Amino acid sequence: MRPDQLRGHLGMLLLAALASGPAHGYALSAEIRRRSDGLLAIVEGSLYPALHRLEAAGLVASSTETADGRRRRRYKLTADGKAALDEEIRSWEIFKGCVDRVLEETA
Amino acid sequence: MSRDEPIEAYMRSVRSSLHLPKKQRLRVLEEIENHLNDGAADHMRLGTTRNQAITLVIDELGPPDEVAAGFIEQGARAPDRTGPMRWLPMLAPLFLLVSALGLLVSSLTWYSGGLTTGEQIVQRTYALRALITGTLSCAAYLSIRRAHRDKAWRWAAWFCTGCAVAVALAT
Repeated sequence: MRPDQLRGHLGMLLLAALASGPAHGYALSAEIRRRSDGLLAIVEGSLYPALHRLEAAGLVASSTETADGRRRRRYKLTADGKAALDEEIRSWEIFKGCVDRVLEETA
Repeated sequence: MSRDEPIEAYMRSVRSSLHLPKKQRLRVLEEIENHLNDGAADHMRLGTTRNQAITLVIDELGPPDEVAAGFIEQGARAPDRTGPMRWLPMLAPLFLLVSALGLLVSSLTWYSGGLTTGEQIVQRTYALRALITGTLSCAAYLSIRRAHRDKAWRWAAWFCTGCAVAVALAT
């Protein structure tokens, strides 16, 4: 898939990846790649700005921990983030259904 | 952990392009460096050498100036939580405590009895102020939370907090 096809959906994908539990940035990127069998490769430079945006919106929260002498930041879904994810999923299902119907008639 | 030269060079380049407040800049740099190390370790688990792994993870992350630009754009849009707004949520519980103490003192003096009419009026005023402070504190807390997401609520947050402060000080 082209990276620009992910534009506008990165927030939803990150919230979905965080729904499995708290994780740090690289693990989130790897989780999205794993769930999509490698087809969705985030432009990783956009990963952290997206996470910071979600945090500023109160949809995720972060905390630092020290492991192996390194300070690491872990992100987790907030209650508002869970509600936003549910709404995104509903909205996506409607969008997907509409596009499918248009394409079916084209085929 | 000693840094690998390519990671060191990448971090230098990001740092030079990252014009953000110090605290935010340190956070970003820390996250990027962790990302590079995590990514390199991940690639090495798949059998690449350390140098190849670092090259791959740097390619995946993108050019340093583009990475920095993403954060700067985000920094310009992020709500301002570095100013006085960050302290407001801490004031609300304090005022709730003040109002609870006010109610406690009022109740104790009420039950102790033997109050003159004037003292009863003062005592009732204390209780009323405590209730108002509590209500304003709750309103301040809720509007501050909302203001963090929607700047239009800032004035409501400041107004409620100001009123809570005024009533609490008067109490």
